[in-house]
Amino acid sequence: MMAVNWRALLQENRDLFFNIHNEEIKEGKGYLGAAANAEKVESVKEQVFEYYISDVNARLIYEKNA
Amino acid sequence: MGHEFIGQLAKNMKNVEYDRVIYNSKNYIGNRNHVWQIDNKKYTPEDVAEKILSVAKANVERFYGERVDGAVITVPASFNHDQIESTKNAAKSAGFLEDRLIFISEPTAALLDLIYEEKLSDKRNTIHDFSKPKKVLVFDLGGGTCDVSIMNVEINGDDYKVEELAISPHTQLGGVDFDICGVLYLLHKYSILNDIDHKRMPHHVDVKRYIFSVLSLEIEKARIMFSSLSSGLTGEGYGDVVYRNSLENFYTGQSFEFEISKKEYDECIKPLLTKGGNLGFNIIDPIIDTLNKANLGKEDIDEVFLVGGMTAYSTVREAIENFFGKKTISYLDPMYSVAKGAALYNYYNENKKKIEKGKIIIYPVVAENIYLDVKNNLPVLLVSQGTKAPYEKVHEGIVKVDNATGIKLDILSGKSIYDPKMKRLKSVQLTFTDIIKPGTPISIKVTFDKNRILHLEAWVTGNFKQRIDVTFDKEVLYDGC
Repeated sequence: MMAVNWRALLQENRDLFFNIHNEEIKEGKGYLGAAANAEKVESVKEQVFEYYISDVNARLIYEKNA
Repeated sequence: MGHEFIGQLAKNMKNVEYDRVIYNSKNYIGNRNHVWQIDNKKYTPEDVAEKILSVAKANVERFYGERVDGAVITVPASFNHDQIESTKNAAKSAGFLEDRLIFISEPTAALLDLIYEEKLSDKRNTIHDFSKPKKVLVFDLGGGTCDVSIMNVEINGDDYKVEELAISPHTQLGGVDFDICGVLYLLHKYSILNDIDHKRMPHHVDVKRYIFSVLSLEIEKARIMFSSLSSGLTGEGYGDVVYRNSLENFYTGQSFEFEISKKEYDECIKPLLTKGGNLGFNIIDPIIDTLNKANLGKEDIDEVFLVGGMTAYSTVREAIENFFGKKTISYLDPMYSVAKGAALYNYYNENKKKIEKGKIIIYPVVAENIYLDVKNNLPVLLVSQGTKAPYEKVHEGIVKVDNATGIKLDILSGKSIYDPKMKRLKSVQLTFTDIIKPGTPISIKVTFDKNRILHLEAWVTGNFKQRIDVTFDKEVLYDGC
């Protein structure tokens, strides 16, 4: 069972083993312990920036008021 | 329905009752949208905090044989007012009296413990001299959060003055993230040993819950072993420490015999310890952020003090020391220094009422800029980060009435108005009992109390007697990240 040479395997497959993505960690944390119903709130970025202080508009308003 | 267990008893059940244990509830306090469900019973983070505080209260009362109705409660420095207020509500529900509750930040409490221990020791044995003002960065890495504070510490005779200069944003990064990195690595190993892609294993959520729970416990055990056996073995040439175990009936009736070495594990957690990378979060970013907020460079920091269970792990400590290019202070028990600091604060606070000498003065600060989202214009800065609490300010004519019966405004927090990570903390409803003509300016008074809880008052500008009802929306918007 322990015949795999992990050191060699790790060197060959560094990307597979160690390039963990944020989403994988988030998903994994969701499997720890009791189940939770979490309603994720939409980022304010979309609401605030997209509607009336998009980056361009924000700068225009800022310059107007400065 | 079974009994409820709190603390170590609950922790011991992670292995057997893995789907009935609530993890990291502190991370979600202030967020009423996060609800755990066990046996058709729902638990909010505030419910969990209430139960923990009730057990702590009962234990202390049993030990001293007398009623306890006050407490010094420590919270992460980066907790916003919603999170502190929710913790306060939990404490009230647990039977503590509101006016006997004091909130101090965890890094500040740990620092008090350090200063006190230094003062107790014989002058010849004192390692860190606090007789002159010093800038101390406290790095607190616990189970679920990473908290960084920069403080100015001054000792004058018997008096301690701790001035918070800057606090990191609330960063959900802790022991649990370090565990999951190891779990994902073990799952890759399982895939190779059994010629199966773990990502394609049947996705029954209960099976996944079991797999992640048992493997995270194994990683925790491995880390404890690495900490105890590898102390003193540092540098490139040191031998490795290997953790081996076998899990019976791991998946589809088959066992999983595995091993993981310290070097392998350290490689797994590297993305969490290094700036950059594809994770988008790591322990270095909040340090840089806090230094920037305080307008300081890393060379301006006199001492770096490590707190929290995860800082006991040598690889974490080395990453911080490499960043600062100097040794850190971590000789106290990182698990208990916060609790000891809270007890010290209470002792000195009571002392202050009786005699003039020997007091602790803490100047807490607001962690992030707080904005009021004035419709059709840029958000207005209500309180800037670094403002010392308690604090109050009147913003004359900050908003104009656009609806005759009331206005709903949002409170935001972020680094600047251009911050793409700006968060909406909560909504505020201004309700007019009498109709107010559209276009009338409204003034708002902002108050942060000594516990850093936000209060708002509003009235028609120029007519202080024409008060406006202010209610914080019960719908909680804080997303807990």
